[in-house]
Amino acid sequence: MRRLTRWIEERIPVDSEVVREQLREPLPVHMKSWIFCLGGTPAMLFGILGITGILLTFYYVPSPAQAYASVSNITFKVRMGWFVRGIHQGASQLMIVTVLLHMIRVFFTRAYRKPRELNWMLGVALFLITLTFAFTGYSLVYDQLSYWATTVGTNMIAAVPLIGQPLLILLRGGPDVNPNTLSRFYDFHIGVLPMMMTLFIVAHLALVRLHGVAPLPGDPRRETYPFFPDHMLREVIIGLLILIGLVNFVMFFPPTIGEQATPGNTPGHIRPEWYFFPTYRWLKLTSLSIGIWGSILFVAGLFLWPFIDAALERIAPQRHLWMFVGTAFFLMTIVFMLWEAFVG
Amino acid sequence: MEDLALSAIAPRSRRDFMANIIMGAGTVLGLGSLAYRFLEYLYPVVPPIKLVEVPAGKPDDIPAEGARLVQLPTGPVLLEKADNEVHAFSAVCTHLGCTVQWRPEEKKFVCPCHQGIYDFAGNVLSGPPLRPLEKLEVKVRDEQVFVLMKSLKEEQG
Repeated sequence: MRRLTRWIEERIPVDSEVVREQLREPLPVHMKSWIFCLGGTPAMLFGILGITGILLTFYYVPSPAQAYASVSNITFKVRMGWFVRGIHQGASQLMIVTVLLHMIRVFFTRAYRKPRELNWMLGVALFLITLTFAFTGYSLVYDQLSYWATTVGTNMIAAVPLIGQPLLILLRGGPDVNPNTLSRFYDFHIGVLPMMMTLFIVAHLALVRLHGVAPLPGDPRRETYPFFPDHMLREVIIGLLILIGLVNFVMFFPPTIGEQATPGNTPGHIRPEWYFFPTYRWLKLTSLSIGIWGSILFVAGLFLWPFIDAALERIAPQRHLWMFVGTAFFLMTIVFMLWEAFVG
Repeated sequence: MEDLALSAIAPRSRRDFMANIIMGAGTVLGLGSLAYRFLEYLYPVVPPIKLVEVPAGKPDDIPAEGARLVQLPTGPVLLEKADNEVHAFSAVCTHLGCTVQWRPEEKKFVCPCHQGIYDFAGNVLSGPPLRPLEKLEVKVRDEQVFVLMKSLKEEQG
């Protein structure tokens, strides 16, 4: 045994003491609260999505003529296909929920302030990648919702000033939604986005490690506890609970599939997934250019929020303007979402 | 070797500095032009738009009241009759491209996606669309309706 360890140590010249030291990184005690463990969950879900996603590609066929039939095949014929697709779908929903919760936690503890602005921006980029993942993902099913979401979503890009039209043609692989569109979305979903997501997660975590966990404002405690094994255990518990939850959810609510896409015929009641409800409501309320500009400004504001916060603090110190502005936008988003969900 | 590596990082003379600039610019231009070719590869070939006459059924199939939605290879089209003349609109909503539907009880065209509402003549009544439904030229020959539509696909020309 000892000889084997030595053999490995000679081939991989890393001091195990250094690794152990790194793993025992001291964390402030406020991290023991569960709401501070939310950041790790999307990463674990990304892992689950990666595994189930690869499994799905074994049967999925990314062509307009066969996509719907192949998803149907996975859902109803392939052994345990419903289970794999159900876990993939459930994990994607949960990923959006946990990313949102993590963002809300970071926002209201103001963990994005100097010197962690860049990490907040990386986080917003990860959030946008997550949404693009979800959007391209449900486009692949090729039922009515997929088809019309793709049409509307890509048409929105055309309304982006200056680069809109060429960007639209580039994304769709032609001026309208055509067979190229599906292969491009598939490519994004299984190639480009996973690569970007992985790189960004690594950068996001590296910055967290380099800066250390952000101190909690107003918490005088100085004690720490080690990342490994204490904090790691918490993350593992969350991971297992998520898996149990997902498996049970899929058992009771196995995945279904909508009507096959028919270009040229939008069904009477059509809506995007719940996480696009705020944008959807906003688009119904405004003209297209205001709709698009509003969305662009919202995302830009989100990106630059740490700097906006700092500017607000300079204008009116100690007035908690950040909280009013943040809460106002947060409530607006919630109201738009509920409005769309319950009033339609 | 060691000397060369050092001078590349921290130029010690004007000559080193110039060499760094030239090599740097060469790398950027070389990789940049390669990236540009890849981008070109991704940008699809867009065939020129042509106007084509598409057969759209018989005039008698169009109801006296309301509109008939027909699915043509060039896209969905609404056909209606007014004063014994056939009119045609593209059924594609001018907001974000969903297909509008005729609601006989309201006598309006409604887009199910973002509640754009148009009247019988294709004008916007309410909702987010800014432009009216696209009016299409119609020809009736030998009891057959033809609609003039833009087509992208060469084989339909």
